Amino acid sequence: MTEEIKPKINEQKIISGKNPVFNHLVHNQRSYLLLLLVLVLAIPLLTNYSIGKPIIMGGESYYHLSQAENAKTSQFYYAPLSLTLQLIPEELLFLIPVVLAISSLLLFISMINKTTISKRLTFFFLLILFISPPFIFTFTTISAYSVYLFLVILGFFLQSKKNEIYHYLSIIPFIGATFFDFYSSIFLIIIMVTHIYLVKRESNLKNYIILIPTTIVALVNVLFLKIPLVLGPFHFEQKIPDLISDLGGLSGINFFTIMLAFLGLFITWKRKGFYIFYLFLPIAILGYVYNTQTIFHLTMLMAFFAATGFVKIFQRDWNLVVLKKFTFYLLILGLLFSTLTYFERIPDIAPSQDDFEVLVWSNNNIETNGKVLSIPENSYFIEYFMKQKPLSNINIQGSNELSQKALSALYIDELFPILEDNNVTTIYINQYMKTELPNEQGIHFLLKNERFKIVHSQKNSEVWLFVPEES
Amino acid sequence: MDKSAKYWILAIFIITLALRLTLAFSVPNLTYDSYYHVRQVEAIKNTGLPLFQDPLSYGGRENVFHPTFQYVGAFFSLFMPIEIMAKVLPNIFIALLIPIIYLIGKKITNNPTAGLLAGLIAGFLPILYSTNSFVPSTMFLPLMFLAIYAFMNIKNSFYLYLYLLCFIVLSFTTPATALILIGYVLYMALSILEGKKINWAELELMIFSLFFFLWAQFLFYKNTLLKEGLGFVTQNIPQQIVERYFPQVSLSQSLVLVGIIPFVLGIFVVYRSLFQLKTPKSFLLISLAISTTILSWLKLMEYTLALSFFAIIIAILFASSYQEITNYLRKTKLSRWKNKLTTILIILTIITIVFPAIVHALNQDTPSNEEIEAFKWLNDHTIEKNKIAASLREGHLITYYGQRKNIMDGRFNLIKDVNERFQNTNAIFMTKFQTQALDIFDTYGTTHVVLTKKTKEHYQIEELDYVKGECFDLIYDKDTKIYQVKCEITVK
Repeated sequence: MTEEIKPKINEQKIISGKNPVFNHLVHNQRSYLLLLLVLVLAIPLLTNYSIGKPIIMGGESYYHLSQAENAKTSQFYYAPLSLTLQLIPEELLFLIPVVLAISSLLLFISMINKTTISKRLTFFFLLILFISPPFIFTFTTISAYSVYLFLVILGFFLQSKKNEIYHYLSIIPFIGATFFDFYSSIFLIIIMVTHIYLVKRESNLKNYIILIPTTIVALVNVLFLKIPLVLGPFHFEQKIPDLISDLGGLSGINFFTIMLAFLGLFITWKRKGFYIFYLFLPIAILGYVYNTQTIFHLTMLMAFFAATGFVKIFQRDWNLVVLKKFTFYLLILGLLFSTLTYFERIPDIAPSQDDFEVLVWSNNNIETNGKVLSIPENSYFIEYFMKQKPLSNINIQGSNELSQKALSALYIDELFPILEDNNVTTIYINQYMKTELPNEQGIHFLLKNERFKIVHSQKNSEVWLFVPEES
Repeated sequence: MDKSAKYWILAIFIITLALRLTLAFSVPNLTYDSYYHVRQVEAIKNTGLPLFQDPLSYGGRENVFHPTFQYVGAFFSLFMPIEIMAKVLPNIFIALLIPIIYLIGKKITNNPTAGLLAGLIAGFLPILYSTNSFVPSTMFLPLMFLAIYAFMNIKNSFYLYLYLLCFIVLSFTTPATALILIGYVLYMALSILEGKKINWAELELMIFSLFFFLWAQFLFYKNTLLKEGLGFVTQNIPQQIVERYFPQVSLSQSLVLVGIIPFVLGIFVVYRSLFQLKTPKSFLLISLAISTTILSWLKLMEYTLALSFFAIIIAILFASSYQEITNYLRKTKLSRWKNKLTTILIILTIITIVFPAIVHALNQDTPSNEEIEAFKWLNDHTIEKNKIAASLREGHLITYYGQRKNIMDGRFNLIKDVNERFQNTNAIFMTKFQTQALDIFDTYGTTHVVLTKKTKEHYQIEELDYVKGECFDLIYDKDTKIYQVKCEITVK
């Protein structure tokens, strides 16, 4: 015999106020989320430390560190980082993003508590955001967006204060947030505009005093200081894998988060009060299509929609009660699974221990004024650790072709003129190049020529010198 | 189930199964791809585990797949020899489609006769008459339609659990289960477009299915996804043979494989359901048909599987068209001819599908006994570390019968240089230059080359042009020839 399915109310309370465990978590979310944040940020840092890699990873970190070391007057906005570099030892640089993350969380929770946004939604939004690879990557590297997010949250936190002085002080972090890239500035200005017109609904002078100077500085930055539209890229872009971390990109969004976000969009479509968030979606998508570095903005939005979907799905009573708990745990498991998979890949993110050893050795032992041939992804490591100029820089459009041409040259007649014309004196090969570039042709094959001398190697990382032709 | 319908369905099931088994045992051996699965069944039977680290395929490789079908095969092989099981089990699975299709047909029409007709057509669909195929899709199809039937009845707790069971097994059987999820998305879209109120129970089941499926795929294919990215979806199939897996659809051929009358009437029902009657009962099936078409068009689903799925849906929709035709005739002056006309329609339908089905079964691409003997000979007369070159489709025969390493076979996932390997495999049979051939043999450490009659036909050659001089020994000389490679070219 079969029975008709009837919802059982007492089994529906997974994320409801009737669930004491969930209630406790939500009401003490500041502590629990802080704990989670420290945990997810500590894992990659400890992983790097335990395998002897530089704790700070990723090309962007070393780009900023190089810039801060050699900042010109026009790059005055690197002054805080330059100063930090002088104040704290290199081994403790990893603390910068961690402190920024913790401060951002505390400010955000303090600010959000003053709004009508539900604690439940905030909890799941931050939970999903914290375990997303772009967030983890951003806050375990020296990245522009970690500072940007902190400044934006700080700005809004100050604005949320009743004291008017704090309100006017918010102009400092907002203006500071426009020095990274123009895309982020546009994002910020749109947030400020929607906050004034759609959330606070008060278009008074007090708000314009903050908004107008911020907009002007953003324009000045892009027109006169030549701040890029989007900072980066700091790795070779692949649109799909960079979007979905499970497909092997550097730091994409979890596939489960994306699916939840779609469900969130579907379920809350046209829901009153949500249209503000839909506004940002096309901007975030366009930004991502233009440059995958903007995945951070898209992640924030996706995490929000995913949290909305999550809360909406599990808040309501299910007809099929058996499935509710199962689906809930499945989702949590899925989200964690993707994050754990990402953690497993942390050791593969450059620079490796061998990269570090060989590049630092080269800096101490090789005295040349020439350029270094390597893949463009290594350009920032070469600049920072080796203190030399790379032949190609991944961030400079068109310069990559030259490296590509040199690395794939089939004959010395093709390779030597490139090296000589561009004053290349050193060649840096690492593990990635050894695996990805063919062995029987291209650079690996041509290095057998007598004009190349290997001067140092560590496992699969090597430094070669290009010896000038004897006249 | 009505008592008389029960007997009819049982009769159709027995007749179909008998026909399928007769055909399966009259055609020698299994299809080429089947040997891969048979080898996995054997491994499970011997060790309890499938060969996720395959020491023979591509000379040794990681090979991750969902092993449910192979475990089921291993279980049944405890009671009968593997060769017999490999022919019997898939045919039982496909024959089981008959009662399932009957139930779905009856569900959407409330007419047992219409359901019976749908079951009858499903039993004789030509595209399903690959009787010698021991592949997971034979288990996937009945399970999938059982899941669909359960989904249509989820208000009843028995069917809810049945759906969950089917879906869980499906998720661990093949990634093609994604088909049902895409179907759900289209089903929701169609329902919203037609102003149908969303059934929350259905939506809950869809949400569960989506996340469970994703989780199941990540569990097995985590590394494949990370290494191949989107290549996972296209199965890393070499560019040169993508067309073979996803051929341009010939309408006439497809019509014959699906059955002309069911196809025409099925399309008629789809049109009526979507644009005139707007019957929600058919929406799910129509959505699944559309998702199959989209996946096949995007070359994300193998042609035969897509066409099989499509054909079964058409068979179900035939039930609707039968009901509509009989209802229509009842209202006209031809009502007294109704029984005769419908009988003629049924007879015509059966004639147009049974004959092509038998022809399809008899024309299956299987290796001959003589070829099998040659591959078995390899096992007895070569040493374990030898690596054998044969055509792509014979790769699994080397590993199964020869139990030796091959250069390439039809499992492409996680193979980095798959395009290059495919070109080189072709070059082994096409090149006229001994140096080129020896260079390829050196690259992969090949020690022997197998040249079968079918390989000669495939490459349109009489002999390997470069086999002369002292570099090759002909060590097996029948219709199939096996050469031992004796020279090396070392690049300095």
